[in-house]
Amino acid sequence: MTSNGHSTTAQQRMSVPARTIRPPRALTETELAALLRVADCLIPASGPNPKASDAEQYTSYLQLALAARADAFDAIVGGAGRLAEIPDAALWEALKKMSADDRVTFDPLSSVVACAYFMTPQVMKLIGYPGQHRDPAPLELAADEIGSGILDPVLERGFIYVSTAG
Amino acid sequence: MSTIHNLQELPRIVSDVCDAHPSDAARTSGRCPSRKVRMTAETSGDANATVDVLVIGAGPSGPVVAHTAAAAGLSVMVLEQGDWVNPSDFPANHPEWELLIQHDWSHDPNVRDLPSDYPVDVSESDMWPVMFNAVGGSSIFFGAEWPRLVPSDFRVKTLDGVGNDWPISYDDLSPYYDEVDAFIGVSGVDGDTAYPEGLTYPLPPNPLGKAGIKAAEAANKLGWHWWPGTNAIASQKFKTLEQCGRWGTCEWGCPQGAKASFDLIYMPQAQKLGATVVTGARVRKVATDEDTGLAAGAEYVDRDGVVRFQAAHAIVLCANGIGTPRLLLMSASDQYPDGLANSSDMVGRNLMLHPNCTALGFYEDELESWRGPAGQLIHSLQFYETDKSRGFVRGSKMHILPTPGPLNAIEAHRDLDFEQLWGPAVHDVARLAQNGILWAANTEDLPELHNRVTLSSDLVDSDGLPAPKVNYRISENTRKILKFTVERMVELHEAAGAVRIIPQEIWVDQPGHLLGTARMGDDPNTSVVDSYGKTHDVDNLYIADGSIFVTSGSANPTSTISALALRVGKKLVEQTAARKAHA
Repeated sequence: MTSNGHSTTAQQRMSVPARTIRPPRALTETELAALLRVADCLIPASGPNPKASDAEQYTSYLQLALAARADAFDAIVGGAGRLAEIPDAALWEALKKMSADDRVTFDPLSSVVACAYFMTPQVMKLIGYPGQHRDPAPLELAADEIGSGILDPVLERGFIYVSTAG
Repeated sequence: MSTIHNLQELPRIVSDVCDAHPSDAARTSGRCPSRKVRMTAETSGDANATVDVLVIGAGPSGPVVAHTAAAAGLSVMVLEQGDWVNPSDFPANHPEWELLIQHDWSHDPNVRDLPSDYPVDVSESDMWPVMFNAVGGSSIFFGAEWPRLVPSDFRVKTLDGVGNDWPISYDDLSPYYDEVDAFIGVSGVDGDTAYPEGLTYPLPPNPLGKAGIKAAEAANKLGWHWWPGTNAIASQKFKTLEQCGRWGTCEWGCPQGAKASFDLIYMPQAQKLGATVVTGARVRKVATDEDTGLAAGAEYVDRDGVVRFQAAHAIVLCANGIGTPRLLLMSASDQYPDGLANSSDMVGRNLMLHPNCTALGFYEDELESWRGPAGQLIHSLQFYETDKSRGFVRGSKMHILPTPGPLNAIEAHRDLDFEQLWGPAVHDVARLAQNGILWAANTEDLPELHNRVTLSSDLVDSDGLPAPKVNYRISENTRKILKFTVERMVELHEAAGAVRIIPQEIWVDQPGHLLGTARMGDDPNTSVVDSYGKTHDVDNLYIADGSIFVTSGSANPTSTISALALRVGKKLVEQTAARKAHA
């Protein structure tokens, strides 16, 4: 195991971390249930938006998210597990307390459950996020923007630098 | 934070090598710190040929020097502790990229902890310097914002009575700025009114985008300077660079290969001219000849843990404002007991980190804020120059970037009330991420002797070499600039109609602007190098990275680092050729 929490690969590159798409180990059913419960509390259904566990393919993306933060896997799974006995009605307050008192656990836990949600194609569409992708600009776009006259007020004020000549 | 090891006694190889003829090849087996090695006694294999120019560090200044020297017909070797990184490696190629940048691809080497990284002791620092160790160096992660310093930056002592004047002027450096810009294909709009007349760029600008137009309209409303972003990001295919694909993730590596990171431009051209690049080579000492006092070569540990020696006629340190003073201090010897090139006691001092502040604004308008470049869409130098009525000297450079990714928006809301981020609110935060504008600023950071890099007494890297320790406190003047600048950026958001603004007065884990720790000057008593980067103490040892800055200015520094490196490289060529002719 490396310091990143990933399994040691045959040849680790000097400047490039290994990417894995599976968590360091499989989740038990209990662990998965605890994570989904936390996810649904932090990300409930609202209007057209589903709760976390209802997002299509959520558990698949949760696996990918856990792999991406393999360094914090134990903290994330353990943190959710510690909340398993908290009654549903008290879970929100328990998470709020964790966010204030134990950010080392809460921050990666909440990041992972949230990112898994945002990665699902259904939610990406709902929030209007197309994902990062290649999208070169049309050649005339910058010229059209500047040609609109938007820069004219700056040009009219003239140079503003402090001269050091003389 | 990396594992803290006990600092082991450094091997006597340091002085042993100096005892031997410096051009002897040195090779030992096994990890160096665990044993004391007499390098000459254990030399095996063929001796490496002495090179004309040995460059330590592969980016950004290293490739510029390497290319300049190779183009002049000199033999050049570059030693780099990291490796090559491909555009296909970067996190934005993957859907989970926003999680990958939190740890595995973090800007902070203490978090990322890759084999190429060394730990940085920041236990007594207000900020945590960031860097990347690979061919291309920290330009792998930079935003490629490409502003120059302004003329007054070179004269702050004369104009403002603080810091020091540079031994060169804007006019001295201007031709080198122009030459670098032409070589790497900087994209921008000619005639920025914050600079002297005649500033032009080889490539047309990248688009402002919806976010850039909105921010520019706000600046116009307030009557403030702004200019379309000047970026070392190719708006058209240029040499070894692709056309910008507007991925929006420039600061976590460009998947398009369009950003002018110095592994993609300058280094390939240097290699074509014959320069060789040795990766996985962690330099632990610059060795000197006891008779002449000249730099003889460098000892480095290769990726197999073998200690090697490379002899050279001239050595150029390009290891950044943390790594360069670290190496000079590690190169202490009987001849140079306080560290190499450190008779002035200025090595490691005057560290300037350019504190960053931001105001993140969200809008109801659709701004397509996942789109790049990022890169600056626009910049403003309205508050760059000194106006003493503000209660401080010097100023800041403001610029805007897009805000790609819903999880990044979540992270930006962490310090707000729990109910403002989680529960039903999370859906609004995620939706607004597409409509964000990040106003960010670099602030002038004046040199202070107590802000410095030394060697840690207890933290070491994976080769047992002492980690750099950073002692850094933000000055009162800089804090005033930060506060003032955040207020101005909030004003810009308000003028643009933002529905939510999140100000942040200091980013403790940014930036990678590592400046001033081996500053240039005419007086050997108060500076480490002359105006051409040659150390005052060692006639064939040069420094070409951000260490040699005298003051920081507020402009993102890589443009100036590159121009200085070109200037250093050209003088180095002259002096090395002359030295060889007289040998």
